[in-house]
Amino acid sequence: MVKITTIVTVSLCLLLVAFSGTAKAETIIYTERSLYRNIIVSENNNTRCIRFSRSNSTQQSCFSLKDPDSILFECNRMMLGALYLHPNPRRILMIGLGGGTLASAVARILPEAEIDVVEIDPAIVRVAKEYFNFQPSPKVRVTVKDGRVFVKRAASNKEKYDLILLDAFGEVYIPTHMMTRQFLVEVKQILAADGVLAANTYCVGGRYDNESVTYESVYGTFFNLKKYWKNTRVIIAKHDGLLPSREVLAKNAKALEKKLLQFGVETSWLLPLFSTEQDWDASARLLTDLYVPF
Amino acid sequence: MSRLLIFLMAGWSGFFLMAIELLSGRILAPHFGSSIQVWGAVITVFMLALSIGYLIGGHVSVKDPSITKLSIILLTAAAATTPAVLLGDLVMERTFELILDPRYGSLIAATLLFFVPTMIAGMVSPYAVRLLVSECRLSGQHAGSLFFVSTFGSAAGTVLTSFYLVLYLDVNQIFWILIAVSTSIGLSTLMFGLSRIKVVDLEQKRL
Repeated sequence: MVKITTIVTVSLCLLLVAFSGTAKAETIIYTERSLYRNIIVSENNNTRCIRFSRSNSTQQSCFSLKDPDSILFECNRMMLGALYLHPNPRRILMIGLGGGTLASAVARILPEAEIDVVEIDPAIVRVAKEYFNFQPSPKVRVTVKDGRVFVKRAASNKEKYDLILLDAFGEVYIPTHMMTRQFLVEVKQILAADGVLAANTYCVGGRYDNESVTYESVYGTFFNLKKYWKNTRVIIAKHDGLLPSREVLAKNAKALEKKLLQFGVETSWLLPLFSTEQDWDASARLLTDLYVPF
Repeated sequence: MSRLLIFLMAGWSGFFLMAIELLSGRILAPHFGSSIQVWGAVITVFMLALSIGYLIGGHVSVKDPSITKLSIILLTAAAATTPAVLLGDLVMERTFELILDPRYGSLIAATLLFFVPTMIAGMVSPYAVRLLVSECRLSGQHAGSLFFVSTFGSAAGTVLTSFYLVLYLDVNQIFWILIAVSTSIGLSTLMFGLSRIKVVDLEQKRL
């Protein structure tokens, strides 16, 4: 009995030491329990981050206080790769705001574009404005709504977007009703004929195969941009399924180079990530509204 | 034997209800999202339907209660669930077109699809209490054990559906299985009830 108590005490102490160790390195400047999640804003070495849980590994978005323009997150940089397929989209839809880093960057790169941002959690919108310098404007409109409902309504109103960026994340992963074939078909309905879709997902974990076959079933071949050690995968697809050649991508990349560099996105880093290799199990089951096993 | 069957029906009814409530969130999400309001609408509709089901179940248990009638309630609940599977998309599509606010949309759609089956399933518990209670002194105990069985069934229905069934089966398949099990249990208890009536009739004739 004494032994057990000792073991428990020692492990508790170790845990405390471990946690105080991480706490020293960063300061938590804001926390909120919103309707949907815990929101934690922290600062560390001039970097401000938002995340939805206490653990360090799941940052949702970060920005540098010294260099607010630079996009720190690789997934956000990879999402900008969609512009290589469509350098000048006029109407843009973003689902999932996070810290607003990507939305702010897109608004600066394309000042003429009309951007609709859809975010389910009003607290996230507040935090993005207050701590991440995100500023809605007549060109950048924020709607607090479930992403799927927004897309469905836009489809019934016959709206069209040139670029759609899917970046909706819950505490664990993408909400299940935004992973299904039916959802992707609805997204396709509101995509202009030459429109481009980019989706931020993970590249490790049991969902990779199912997700890949589901996207492929709706959009055909897509560009699959991956960074294994960051567990980041961005899918970039076209409405018509006709992916541009390497030459066209390189030409567009060159034209955008200066603008993107301002946000820390280098062509030499981004362009080589474009791949159409199908590295998933093609026999994986499709994700549908009736079947999402997560 | 008949007590066991009554408990079986009450426990299964709890399982059936919670499995359906859980899946109804998934069913509504494509049209109305999975916001906290949609879950609020689902729970509201189920609670309201159950409350009315309890009232009706208690009321009809007064006159000539029998295991046969309880079986018919269970079978009707299963039958009333089929439109949710067959007409679900159509109903939600129409509701989505007519009602712009997803809160009220989900409330209306959940009412149209799930109110009636939930209400009928809600009749099972009070009716079963009536069948179990033989003397006033033990009524609380009987009610207690029945609530235990039916709520335990609910817990089982929730965990089995969310942890395991959704991993292998699609939502419609799970619905059909639930309906099939309800029907089998309902038919078996119905046969049992009817055979007992015959036995009682024969005994009365002999006397």
